[in-house]
Amino acid sequence: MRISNCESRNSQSAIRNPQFVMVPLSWYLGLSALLFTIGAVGVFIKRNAITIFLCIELMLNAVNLTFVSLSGFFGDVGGQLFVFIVMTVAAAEAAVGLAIIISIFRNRESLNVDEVDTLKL
Amino acid sequence: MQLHGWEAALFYVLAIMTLFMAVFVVTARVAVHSALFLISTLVNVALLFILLRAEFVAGVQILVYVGGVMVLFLFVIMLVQTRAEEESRVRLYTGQTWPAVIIALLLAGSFYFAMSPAQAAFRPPDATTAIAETAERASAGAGLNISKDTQEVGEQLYRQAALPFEIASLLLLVAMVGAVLLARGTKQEKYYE
Amino acid sequence: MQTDFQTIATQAMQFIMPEGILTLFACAALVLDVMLPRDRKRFVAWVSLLGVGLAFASLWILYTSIVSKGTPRTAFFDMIVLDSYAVVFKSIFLIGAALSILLSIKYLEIEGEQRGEYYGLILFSVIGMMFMASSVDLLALFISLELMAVSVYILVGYFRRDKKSNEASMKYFLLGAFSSGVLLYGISMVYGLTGSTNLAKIAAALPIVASANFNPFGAAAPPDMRYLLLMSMILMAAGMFFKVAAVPFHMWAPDAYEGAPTSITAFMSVGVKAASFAMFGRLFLYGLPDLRGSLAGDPASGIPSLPGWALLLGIVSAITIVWGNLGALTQNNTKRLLAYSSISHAGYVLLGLIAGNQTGYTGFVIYLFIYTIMNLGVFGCIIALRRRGIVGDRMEDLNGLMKKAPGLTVMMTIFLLSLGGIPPTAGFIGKFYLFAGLIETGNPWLVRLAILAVLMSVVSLYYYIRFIRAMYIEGETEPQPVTLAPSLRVALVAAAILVIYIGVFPQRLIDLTQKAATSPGLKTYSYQQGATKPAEPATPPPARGMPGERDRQTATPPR
Repeated sequence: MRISNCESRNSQSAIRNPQFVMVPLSWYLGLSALLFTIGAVGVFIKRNAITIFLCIELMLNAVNLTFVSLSGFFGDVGGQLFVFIVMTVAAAEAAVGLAIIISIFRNRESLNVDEVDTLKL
Repeated sequence: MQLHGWEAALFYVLAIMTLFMAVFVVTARVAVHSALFLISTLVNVALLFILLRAEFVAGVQILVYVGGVMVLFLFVIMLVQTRAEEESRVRLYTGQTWPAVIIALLLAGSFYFAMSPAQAAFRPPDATTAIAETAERASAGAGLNISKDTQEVGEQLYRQAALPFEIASLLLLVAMVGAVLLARGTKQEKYYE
Repeated sequence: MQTDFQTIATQAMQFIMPEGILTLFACAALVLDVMLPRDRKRFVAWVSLLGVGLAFASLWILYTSIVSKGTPRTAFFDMIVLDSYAVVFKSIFLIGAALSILLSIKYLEIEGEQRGEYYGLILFSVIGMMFMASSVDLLALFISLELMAVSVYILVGYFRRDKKSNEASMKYFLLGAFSSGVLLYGISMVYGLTGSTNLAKIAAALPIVASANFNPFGAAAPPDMRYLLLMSMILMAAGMFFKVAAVPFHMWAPDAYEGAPTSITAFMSVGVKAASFAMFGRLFLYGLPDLRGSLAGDPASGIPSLPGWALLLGIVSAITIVWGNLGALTQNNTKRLLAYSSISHAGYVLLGLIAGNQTGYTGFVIYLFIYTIMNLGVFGCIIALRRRGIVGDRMEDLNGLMKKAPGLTVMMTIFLLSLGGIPPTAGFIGKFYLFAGLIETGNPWLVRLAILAVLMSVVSLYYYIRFIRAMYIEGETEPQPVTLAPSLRVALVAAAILVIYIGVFPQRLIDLTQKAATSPGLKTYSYQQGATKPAEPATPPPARGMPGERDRQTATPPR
């Protein structure tokens, strides 16, 4: 995958039983793809704003998992830096998003997105 | 990075747990349950990070995500929860089940079809290279069990990612100002003025 | 270690001087808000305006002392670059911010929401935009995108006692966060495929990864990475389409535009859009240039060749132009109407990226520049209609405006004609470059796309003329007079003069934007058949103004 030095993977994994099952990178990527899909579907089918937001967090975590597994595969910390930034963004978004939800709640007592209908879609 | 032995077994357990918890996040009826399931997903993912030798982000995941963001979520859910979802007459989902199924199949299918022809780039063709490599690492770093991961991430964070790091600090400031601006009540505002 | 910090302190800091000044003033706005009494809060607006002015001055100094002198310089370990592209976009954001601040002062007073945070947040989002224009690393691009987006989520919900504002903010926030997730997944896949987050390194690695003989582990059946490349490209494009409100992902725009405070609608429709396009250009023209045309396959062994992003963008822009213009026809709320109109304008701007030649790129930059001024002008006129007891966002509120405020009406007419692309105004220049870029390619499909765009801009005249009809012909429906606050008058007059001036004497702006369009790293393409030149591998981009002509349409292998 990485062009320059595919070999320089930083695996400190102490080897115990080489004949045992191995987990290749593609399993990690597949897992994160599934997590992302579940999150995306959740965003589409849920009605409650907070749960939709939780599903978005799920998607962001899928991204983080991809970054960390790739970063391990490459032996490059660039991916982990990205994860750090994504977490910061998630925290900031959570603060603002929940504040928006609270301000809606002060004005009306429902958080279902399709009851939020002052603006027609 | 290849995992061996019990680590591999642990990976499968954690992966299955993660997926189940993620599905429960979507299907749970009460928002608090969703949040709790998300917390367990996040913890599972943090454990996967540890398997990948990314201790620093695993720690941040637990401290920031589980300890900070999710607790904030729980607070807000308890503050605004109308408890309407617990009644079975309230529809939990939008009517968009079929679009959702199509999106799921489309996403998962395209991930699969995009990834499968690229398989050969993801792992060495035979296990011997990996095994030789890990054996060599093990002999080189014998007795040195402390991971350098955190140190490396920290160094790069203040060097290569110095600028994004500074922008992130602005982002957090904005989030703080915004949260105060949006969430304070009229009474509180009058008090400060 | 020592040397790193020394470099940052002595050299790199001057590259981010405008952003640094804005940061200082944004923080000052937050602090001043606490110190000033309630009836003096408008002072904060003037302070932030001063900040924007100083930032503009320092940007100008940077431009004359560094950028105009030679090759672009990178700083902060190749995180940002200072080239003409960045400078022109930064000046667009600063002009947009200055006009938006001027539009807001009176409006916020009428709404009783004059507070310092508002101006602070506008400045913070401008800082995000400016970093978006100059970042050449996915890490910096993403975090600055979020700085902009989070500030704007807050600003959309700024009237928090207003249900519409709350709900607009929530919709915008949820869809924005979702699109960030999608964009991020695309970014993570690109990182996986190329092993780097730096756009230059990504661009260098792409042809190697996409080529048929890419086989890092010497597997018997070589991997085919092109599907993954395409998928990551599509995910990134989808995320960006959300941000610029292109059609399959436009549904947040009318709601967010209608519910937001009008001054923020104005700011969003120009600032956020221009910044997202700046990022779009960086991502696709600098980062993924080799995914543009078709990815050659190998017919001998049955590997199909795949289409690249030019096709995707072409389809999306065609749908966006049609949908935006048709959607605008039936609207009665002026803010909603202008939301649809701004969707269609996003489609026009995409044409510049599709054309892929100098003219197209010039059109891309110049149109965003002009669009910023004229759209802010139109929204300024709508803000002027906000009076005690009248919201001013219905079409009827414009009735008989000519009798009440002739000066305002004339300026509104200028802006509307410019949006429609009528000759003596600036909008014509922008559209001319966009359409000419497409026609220059000579590709029959692109020429058809240009014809469609021209036809749809004729359709758009219909709804712009509805405004004019209401202002000039209809009798007035309510007697309350319209007065222009001094700050609003300054902003509108300045915008109107600029629109006319650029329309009549476009040369200076064209020169400036052409420099941006020829920034090294922006690769140009020729659609001419048979002009096959060997695709130069991942070497440094061609020198300024000397585009390496490459043929991406034919699947002929390089000689």
